Amino acid sequence: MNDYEFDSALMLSGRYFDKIVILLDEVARPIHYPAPPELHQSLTQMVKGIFGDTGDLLLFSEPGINYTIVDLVEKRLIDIRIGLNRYDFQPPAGPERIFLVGLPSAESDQALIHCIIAHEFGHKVWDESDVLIRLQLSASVKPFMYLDKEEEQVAAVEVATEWLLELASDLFGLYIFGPAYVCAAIHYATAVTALDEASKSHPPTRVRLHLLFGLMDEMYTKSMNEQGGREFAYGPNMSQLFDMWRPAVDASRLGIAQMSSNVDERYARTAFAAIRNPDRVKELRSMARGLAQERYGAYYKQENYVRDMGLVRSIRNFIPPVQFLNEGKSELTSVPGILNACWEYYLGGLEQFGSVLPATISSDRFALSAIFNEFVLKTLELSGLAGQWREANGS
Amino acid sequence: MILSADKIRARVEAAPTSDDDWFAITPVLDWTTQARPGTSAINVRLGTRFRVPRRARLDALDHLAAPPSLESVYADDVRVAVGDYFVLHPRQFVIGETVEWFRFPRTLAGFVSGRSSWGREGLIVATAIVVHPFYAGVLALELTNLGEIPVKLYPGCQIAQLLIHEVDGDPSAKIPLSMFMASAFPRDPDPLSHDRKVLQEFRRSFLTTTNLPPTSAPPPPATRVTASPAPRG
Repeated sequence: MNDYEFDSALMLSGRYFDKIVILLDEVARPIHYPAPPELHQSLTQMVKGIFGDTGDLLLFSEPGINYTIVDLVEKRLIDIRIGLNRYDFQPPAGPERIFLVGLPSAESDQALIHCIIAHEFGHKVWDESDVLIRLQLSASVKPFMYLDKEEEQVAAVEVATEWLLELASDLFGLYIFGPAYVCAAIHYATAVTALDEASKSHPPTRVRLHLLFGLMDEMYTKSMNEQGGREFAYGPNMSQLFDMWRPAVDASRLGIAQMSSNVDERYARTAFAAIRNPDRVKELRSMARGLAQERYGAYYKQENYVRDMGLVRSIRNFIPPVQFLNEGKSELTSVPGILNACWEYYLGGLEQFGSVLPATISSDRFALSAIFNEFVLKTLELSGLAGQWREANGS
Repeated sequence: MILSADKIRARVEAAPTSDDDWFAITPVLDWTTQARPGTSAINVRLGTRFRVPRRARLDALDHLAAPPSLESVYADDVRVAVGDYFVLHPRQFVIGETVEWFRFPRTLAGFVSGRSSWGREGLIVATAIVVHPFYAGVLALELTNLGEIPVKLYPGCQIAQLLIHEVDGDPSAKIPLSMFMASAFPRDPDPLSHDRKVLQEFRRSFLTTTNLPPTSAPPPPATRVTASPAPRG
């Protein structure tokens, strides 16, 4: 090996070594900032459902307010594998996809809020459906352009496309988790941002909720009444929450006048026009539904929701809704089903949960809330274990 | 009357006539091996969470003097995934839990017992064995290895058996709720909760009479005792 070859090899290995160090650091994070282990199996099954059987998951919590997702294979492993191959070293076979999913540490034990993860998975799914969709979205923005200069047009399209992708990921979340996703979005989004706050990458929360409510109300309409109004399939407590929120996210409340943001008003105007166009919305919904069906096998339909509302009785009696009980068969419930039933119960107030607990616990609001969170986590753990057991047992 | 395995399964799978009457065991991962026809119990599986006492942090467990919550100083929480194992060493004591979550109706109660196959390895699985009506939650397993050889415990294995019997009593009587109600994992014990006040009173009076320092008070700082110098002159 001459000096030149030696230097090149050194540089190359240095580059891969850096990547290995970064990878190790990322992989070590779950050890230092653990997330509730009860969630692992249920979420892994979800990852496999969306990204295929070779997907795996590393879960951790981080001191921030955001949910994060990093595809370790995409970001790091591919380069490292190429590097190792260069030296004729065959790395051991492992999962083809590993997602590093970060939960906000302050809320890591609050499983109900974690429906938001579907939004992050949605981003990955949209990214993978790739350039075509991005182009389609960008092109759909152009008719709403009020700008002459080319660089301004590019900037406006970029903002609008980012906003559309955020909304598309929300819709994906709704298709996966149903009304539970909207409950989580209301609680999470309003806790971390003001309703009319926007940025280049995120549209105002009010717009996001408006779009979610529009689709959700359509999906979960049971019938139309004589006055032409909708009768919804929502459980009573969710129904009450949604009734409270509907006026706040009504189309008449959307506009850039009240928006608080550092986004150029002309770009925001373009993005708003694109979002508010009914054809665009329809297109976005149909693409999200197509992706949920294609990637997750099915989306969470009204009939699933109606059946899962029966699980609320289980929760009221301190029975984790892991299986559809007492029907002479043991059919497993789904993660979206569990979370919808738990949300419905939770929105009714934890007082009812406390009423059958000893006074020392029920009088302490924090203890009560902790016990309920543990109950939800336990349900997800048992659901994950039961699914894994069936798989291993070949049944 | 003790319920047969068939009857246990039938009761769990029957639609409850009322909430009071609802008997649930969930999830039963395999009815055929856990509730074998002809037997009089259901086998329960070992869960994934263990509480391992920390000997170094406490000189003794004193529930009269210490606050009820000893979790942070008393025990480490160890998680073991299904597929992995926990090694229980000779004379070691840990708290485990069942995979199954139980919800007992008003008319049934149960008691946990070891399985002979584990017993022959020296494993004790439960010391507080009674489960009262209306209890809901996982069951705590007090695991001790009385044998000479460390034992590997695999979460998911059938570790103990639960016998279930009917309770004959006044159907309108109010049933006191367990402090461990809705336990998703074995919660901190407070064995003196019912008698703490009275026992503390006895303790105070005992200390006054005998003029002894309270045992829970911190020891006085170590000082070197030296003899006074003899007076000169």
